[in-house]
Amino acid sequence: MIKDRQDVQVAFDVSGFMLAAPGTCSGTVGCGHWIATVDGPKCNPDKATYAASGGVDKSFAINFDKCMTPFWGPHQINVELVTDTGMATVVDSRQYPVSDSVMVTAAATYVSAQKILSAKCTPCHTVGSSGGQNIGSVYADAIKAVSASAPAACKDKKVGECATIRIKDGSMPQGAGCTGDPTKDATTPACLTADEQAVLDSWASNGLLQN
Amino acid sequence: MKSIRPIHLVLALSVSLTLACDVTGDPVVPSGAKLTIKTPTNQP
Repeated sequence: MIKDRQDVQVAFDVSGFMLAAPGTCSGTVGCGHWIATVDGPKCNPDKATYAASGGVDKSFAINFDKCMTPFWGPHQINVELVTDTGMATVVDSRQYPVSDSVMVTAAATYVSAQKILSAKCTPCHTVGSSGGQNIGSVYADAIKAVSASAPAACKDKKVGECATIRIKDGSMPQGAGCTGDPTKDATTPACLTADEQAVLDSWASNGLLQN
Repeated sequence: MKSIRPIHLVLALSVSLTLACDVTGDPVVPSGAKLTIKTPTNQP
C-alpha cells in the first residue's frame, strides 16, 4: 500500500540481459533497455513518461498525479524489456514478453485527511467538541464510534466514516450551505472540493489509517 | 554427389537472418532474460 500523496519508488532486477541507454547497444545481442508503464496507457499516453534512459539504473519514481486514473485507489505498474530501438518487446523462449507487473493501492491516511478536516471543520470539530469529537485535531476521535445522536446513515460507523457520509450528503460542514456535490458547491469555499472528498473517501475506505 | 542449388542458399540465408534479427532490425534476444519488480515503496 502506498500511503498519502507521495511519489513511489520502484526498483527491479534484470538477469540474462544487458541494459544500456536506448540506441547504444551497437548490435550487441541480448542488449536493450526497459520501459515502465502505469495503468497501461492511462498514465503515460506517449509511453515515455516513465521510461528511463536505460543503463544500469533499475529504478524509477512514479507520480500518480500524472495519471488519468484516480490518484487514490489501485494502480498497475508494469516494466518490460525492449530492444535497442525500443520498437520491439523482448520475449522469452516461450515468446512471452520479458516483463513484470505489480498492483499497488494509493491510500490516504489521517496525515492527509487532517489537513482537510482541520481547515473545513473548524472550530466545531477542532476545539469545539461538537458531537463529542474533534476529528480535525485528534486522531483518536476519528476512530471512535459515533455518538448515539448521530444520523441513521452513520449507525455503527466510526466518526471518520460518518464524516465522509455527512460531507457527501451536504449536512456537513453544518450551516455552510453545501449540497455535497463539489460541482454545485464550487463557489462556496467552506464546502469540500472533489479532490478533498476523494482523500476522505480513500481514508475511510482503507480503515482510517493514522499514518 | 548432390550439388547446392541457388534456391538452397537463399533459403538458408533467409532462415539465418530470421533467427538473427526481428522485424525492427534489432538483434533477437536469447532466451533466459528475466525481469522482477521489487515491492514499490513510498519515497523517503
